[in-house]
Amino acid sequence: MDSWWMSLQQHVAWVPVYPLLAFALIVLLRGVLPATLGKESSTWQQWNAPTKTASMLLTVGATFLGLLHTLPFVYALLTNNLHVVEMNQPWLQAGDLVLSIGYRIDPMSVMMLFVVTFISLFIQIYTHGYMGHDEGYAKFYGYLALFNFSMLGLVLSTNLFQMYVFWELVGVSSYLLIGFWYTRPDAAAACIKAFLMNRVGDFGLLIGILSLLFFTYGWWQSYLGVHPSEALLGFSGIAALVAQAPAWFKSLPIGIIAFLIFMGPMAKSAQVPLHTWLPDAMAGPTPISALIHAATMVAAGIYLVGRVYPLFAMSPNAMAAIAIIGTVTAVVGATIALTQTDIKKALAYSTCSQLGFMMAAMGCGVPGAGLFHLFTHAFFKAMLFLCSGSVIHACDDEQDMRHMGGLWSKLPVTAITYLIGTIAISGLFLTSGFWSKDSILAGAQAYSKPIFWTLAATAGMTAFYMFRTFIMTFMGSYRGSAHVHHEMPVMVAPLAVLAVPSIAVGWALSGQGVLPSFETLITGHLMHGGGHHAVAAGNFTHAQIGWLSSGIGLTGALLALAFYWKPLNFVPGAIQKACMPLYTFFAKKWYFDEVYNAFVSKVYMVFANASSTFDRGVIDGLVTGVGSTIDASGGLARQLQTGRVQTYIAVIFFGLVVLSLLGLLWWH
Amino acid sequence: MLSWLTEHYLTALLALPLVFALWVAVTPSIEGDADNARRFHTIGIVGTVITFLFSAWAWNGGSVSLHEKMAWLPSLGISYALGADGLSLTLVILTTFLMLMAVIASFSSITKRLKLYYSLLFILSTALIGVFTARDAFLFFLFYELELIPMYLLIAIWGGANRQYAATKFVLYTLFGSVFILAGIFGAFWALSQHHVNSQELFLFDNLKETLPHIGLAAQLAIFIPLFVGFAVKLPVVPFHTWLPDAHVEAPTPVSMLLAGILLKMGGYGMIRLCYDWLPGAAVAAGPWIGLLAVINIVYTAGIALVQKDLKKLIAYSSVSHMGFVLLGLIALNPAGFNGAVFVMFAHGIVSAALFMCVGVVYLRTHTRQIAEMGGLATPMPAVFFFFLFTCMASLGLPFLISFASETMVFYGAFTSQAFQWMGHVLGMGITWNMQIVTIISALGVVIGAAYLLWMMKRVFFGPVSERWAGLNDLTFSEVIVLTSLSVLVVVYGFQPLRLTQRFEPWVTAMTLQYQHLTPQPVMRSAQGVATHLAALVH
Repeated sequence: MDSWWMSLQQHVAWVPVYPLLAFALIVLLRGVLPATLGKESSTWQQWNAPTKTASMLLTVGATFLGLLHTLPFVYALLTNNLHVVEMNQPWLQAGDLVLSIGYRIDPMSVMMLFVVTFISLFIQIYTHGYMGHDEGYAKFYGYLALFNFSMLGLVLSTNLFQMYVFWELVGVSSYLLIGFWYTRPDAAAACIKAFLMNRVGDFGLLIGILSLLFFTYGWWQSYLGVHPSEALLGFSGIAALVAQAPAWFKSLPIGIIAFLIFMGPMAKSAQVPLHTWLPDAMAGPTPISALIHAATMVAAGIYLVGRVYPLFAMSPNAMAAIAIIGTVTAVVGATIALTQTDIKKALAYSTCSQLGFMMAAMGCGVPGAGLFHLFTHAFFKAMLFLCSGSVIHACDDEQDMRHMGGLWSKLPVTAITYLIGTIAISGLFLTSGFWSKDSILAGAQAYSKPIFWTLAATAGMTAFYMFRTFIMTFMGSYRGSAHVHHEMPVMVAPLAVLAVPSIAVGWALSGQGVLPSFETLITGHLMHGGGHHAVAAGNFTHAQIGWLSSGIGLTGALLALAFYWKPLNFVPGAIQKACMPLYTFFAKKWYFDEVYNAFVSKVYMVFANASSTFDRGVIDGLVTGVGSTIDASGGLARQLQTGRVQTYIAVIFFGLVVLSLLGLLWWH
Repeated sequence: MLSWLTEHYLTALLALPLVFALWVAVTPSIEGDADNARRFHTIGIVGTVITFLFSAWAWNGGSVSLHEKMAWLPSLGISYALGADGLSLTLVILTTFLMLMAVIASFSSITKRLKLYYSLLFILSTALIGVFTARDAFLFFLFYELELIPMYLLIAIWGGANRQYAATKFVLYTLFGSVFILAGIFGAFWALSQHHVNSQELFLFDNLKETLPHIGLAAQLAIFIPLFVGFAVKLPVVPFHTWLPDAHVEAPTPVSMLLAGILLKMGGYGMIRLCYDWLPGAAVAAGPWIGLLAVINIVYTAGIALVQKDLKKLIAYSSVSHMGFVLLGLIALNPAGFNGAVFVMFAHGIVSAALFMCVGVVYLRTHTRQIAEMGGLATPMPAVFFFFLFTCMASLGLPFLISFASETMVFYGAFTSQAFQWMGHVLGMGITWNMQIVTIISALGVVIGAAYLLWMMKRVFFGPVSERWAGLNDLTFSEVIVLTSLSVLVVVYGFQPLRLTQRFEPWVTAMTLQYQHLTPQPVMRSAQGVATHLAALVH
């Protein structure tokens, strides 16, 4: 047992490799096999069903193995026995450039490993029910395995470059999964939007990484005498970088670098103004909305900021920018979520808003709180999405909450777990969201009063829109026309499992129980290289903030009941009417899409079209112009070649006359 | 026999395709015979496989002689000199491999006049190998021109509706470039003759390499500029690029694959071998201008690709855009940049061949290249969709696929480069023009690159399928072979780029050493300088 335990730890590098192998095998089984056997052949007809099951088992098995590898580390982390391990392998070399890929085990990566493998596992089991009748069942499992490979590689990254590599790969998994139902126009549009918006962010991230190398290259090399690229980009090296940086570096370059790097997280974690892809991404199947676009991939931005936190902490300007962008995202997401009628869209804007909370925490100097919220949010938001999937599945693909209602009795497990998730995300009654959101508010209070109050108000909105979705979906009477199916055991079992951490994980890691608090587990490591921990006391104590946020949350919940639960509907029409202009503004999503579309179609496409016309008309026109000029002059010259001797003699004669005249003139 | 082969390996490599061209020539073509096509395809396959395997011998480090020299026309200073280092071998193996791919691709797309077709293909093969292995400037020029004839005929005979125009444009344009190359080569010859070297070997690369870096800057520029312009036509560099979209649109699929896969690399190869290796002073001086060209090449043509209505034209413009990264790597003048430039050439060779294959496959079935007419093709052709998407992902630089590592090298080299730093006024505005700014603008090409490829994919493959396309057939066996082979390389070298770069890295890095003392600014002072400059801008 003991040696088994040890070998699981030693071979942690396999964690991302398992899903990669699963992906490769699925490609072979489902792509190469039918192609070689012939799709119509009877042999393939026999193999079709078994390979489908095999695809599922491969993916789930790979994730399960990953979770097995993770557990010893989780145990070690909780018992304060975790040793930081790092391994690197050069991947690309040219001159002084050395880029490495490897794995790093430390509290943060162990936390994320657990989140990714644990949630993936249950979502993959759920998928068996949700996608059971889909033609692309096996392909879906293949993509899920590809995503897991990318995400786990990202989590285990040892340096910024490796992070960038896997960052792009999760992006492409996301693209493939959003566009999974490629015949649907909305999915086709959403996947390209997600990819391109992330590319814009990645552009900043790339330039940021390059700038970090450029600005620190020289003195680092003279200081350590090592390959700068390797040391500089390593997460372990960033702390030392902070400690050794000269003054000129701390003045402006660090701010620029931090902000450029932040563009990556801005897109990946759907921060305003690069957030509009996330709601559209809901065109993908619900399991991936839960896994990628709620629990794991979108949190990668928060994770990256946590990874290079010492760098950010060096630049107060960058921190302020992050805090403000996070807060704005929280508000924008929450206000739009208030108005959505599509259950998945409402949850997507909620994710956006919660990511804003996390990012604000990073900016406010409490990365531990931000990562804690990432951790708790992953469980309850994944569960909420799976619940919505269960509802959608039961209602024959209906997503509009106006055609739902009263599903409480027909989908009891879904309703209960959805309620648990709603309470957790609203931060009520000691659920997991309560603890993490309080940490964020406490940090925000110490950092800036306006941010604190904005976030507190947004927490109230969170409760309002979440209870609104709950009431519209599960309470009242059924308003739809589709026949509601029963819940499937394979789909509700993961819900039940995820409900446990949604309730308990916050308290367990709050530092109130036997376990150490989440923040000490993570930030103790985060901070050791430098930076400063903002723990300045605010006006409220931690406990008071707890009461305050619960109070705000309850108010939001009660207001939602007042507005949306018919038996209690006592909101005067006048108030509802007064809210209309604001409501429209929110329902139009603050007009971000309109502005972007206008930019692309009115500015960029015009420029591109002009370039194309210029290329054909002017550049190629010049070329063909030269050609046709030569052609034309040749045509003219040909006129002279008449072949008539008389003409030639006449020309020679006149030529001689002219030349003699000229000669005479010159002679005189 | 074997010892002769190892001693005259390069000559044998050059002669090998010609032997098969001869075999094709003596094989009777019987019109109407059912086996006629198969006969020629078989010779094509056998010939290219053997050539490929033979070239793989040296590539895999076989003990063969990679240098040959014989007096040819000593009175004119011309010798028959061949040689191959890492750079040459990389491009030679790319040539022989893509030739094989092109032949397999011909199975489905070439149906007429196979005898002539294969003769020309083998002659083209020799010409290309000759360009990459010649070690005498005159010989190099001969091979460079020899490539034109088969290429012209391949486009003019097997091309599309407007093939005559495209083929003529291609030839005239390339000849226009060749005039410059010839001028540059004679300039180099003249410069060498001023120094007292063995006058019987005045065109020899080794002699040129020894002397040219030390001549005056004006003389260097006088040689560098015509050579650069000549190769710029081939690469191509804006504004000398307009032949390329026309040639691609009209060329048949296998010829497009070769055109994008190898022929463009002759331009990049020429720049490295002749311009950058011989004339470092001029290369440094021309830096800011070539930087401008690189940016235009990448961003401007990417924008044009975005709005193309013709599928093949879109891919053709994307080729031009990617070749801008070669320029970007070259002007960095450091090891990462140069290695990156070579790597981009190889990666683009593989990826663009796959892209043109995919386009050809689609065209063969739909008989249209208009993107607007397509839509929903993924439903009838899932395998085509798979390979097309995969190739697009490779082209837009997805990590662990071949282009990513190459572009990473270029970006790193360019961004950390101190090759030039120009500050001045343009139209009354204070402008700083340095490698960092060039790199940032060029990196936009990566974003636009993703945009035009994915938007194209969306319009061609996504969405519901119309009645018109519902019955299209998926890939045939030979097409699967081509696309799978190319994809395997994309993945293998994508995952393990060191396996590839180690072949050319030593030579390329050694070649960049001469630039170390030419760009003496220590990085540290300059980074600090940029920081101060930025601070001044902010206040």
